Amino acid sequence: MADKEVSLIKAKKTPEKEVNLDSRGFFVIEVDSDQKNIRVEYYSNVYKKDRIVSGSFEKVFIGKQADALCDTIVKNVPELLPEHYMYLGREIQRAQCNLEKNKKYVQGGC
Amino acid sequence: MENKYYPWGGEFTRCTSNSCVAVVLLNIEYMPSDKVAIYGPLKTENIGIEKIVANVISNPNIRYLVVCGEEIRGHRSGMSLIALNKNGIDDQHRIIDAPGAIPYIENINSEAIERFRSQVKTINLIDEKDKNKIDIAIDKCIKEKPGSFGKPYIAIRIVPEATTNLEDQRALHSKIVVDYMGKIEKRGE
Repeated sequence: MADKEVSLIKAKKTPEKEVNLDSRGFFVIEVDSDQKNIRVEYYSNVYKKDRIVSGSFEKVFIGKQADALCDTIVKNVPELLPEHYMYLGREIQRAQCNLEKNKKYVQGGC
Repeated sequence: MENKYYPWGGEFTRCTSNSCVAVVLLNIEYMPSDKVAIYGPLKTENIGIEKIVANVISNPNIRYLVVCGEEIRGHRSGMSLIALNKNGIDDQHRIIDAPGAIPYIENINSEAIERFRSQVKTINLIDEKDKNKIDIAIDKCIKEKPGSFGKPYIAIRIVPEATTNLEDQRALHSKIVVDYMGKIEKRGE
């Protein structure tokens, strides 16, 4: 008998079709190989007939390091869904890896 | 290089700024010669197209937009871009007769779109995979020598955020006076 029991939870990826779109907007991540920067553009959602059809360009973040970009985005774009922040973290880290290895980066889905 | 052009920035390659050709790459592994002004990929039929419009009209030397490669499935971004150049947008900001799913233009105004339609002629090489044929089409445009369209059109400007803390009055009122020898005579007030 242990003093304390701790849950062990096996990781499971949420299927893309079950991911909730964030009402706060979305991000476009690109690697600017000319300027050797990662660009993260933030858009608020534009709706037509209750569906998201585009975004209104609000902010752009540039940097070379995923940690700096993530910290700055959290400060400047509050109240995103937790899974959205997690997605941004792993995508921007992947963009940094590709930038450092001089490889093509294509933003992945959630 | 050429910071006065291409204000939206993005994933494209700058080459010869006074060239009259920009190349839009759909699904194709192709690198145009450096005789073109810029080239880069297009993915989406809304923001992707807006970026191309804003960046292209900032450089009045660009008079031809060569759209090549396999069409983007679902988005139909290539044909939507050509439709924008041909037809413009309706009062709901939708590109008229665009085949894409959500071809809405929300970040640039109708004046910028009209400028795009007047400044640039699109060359439809969608689904053309023969790189020699694309090269020949680009060379043909360059030989036309259409000349500059005039002044740059800046549809969007990205402004660095001010870093001065306005609550810190010392930053606003401090003055440094330097004498003729370069020695600091007075610091602050």
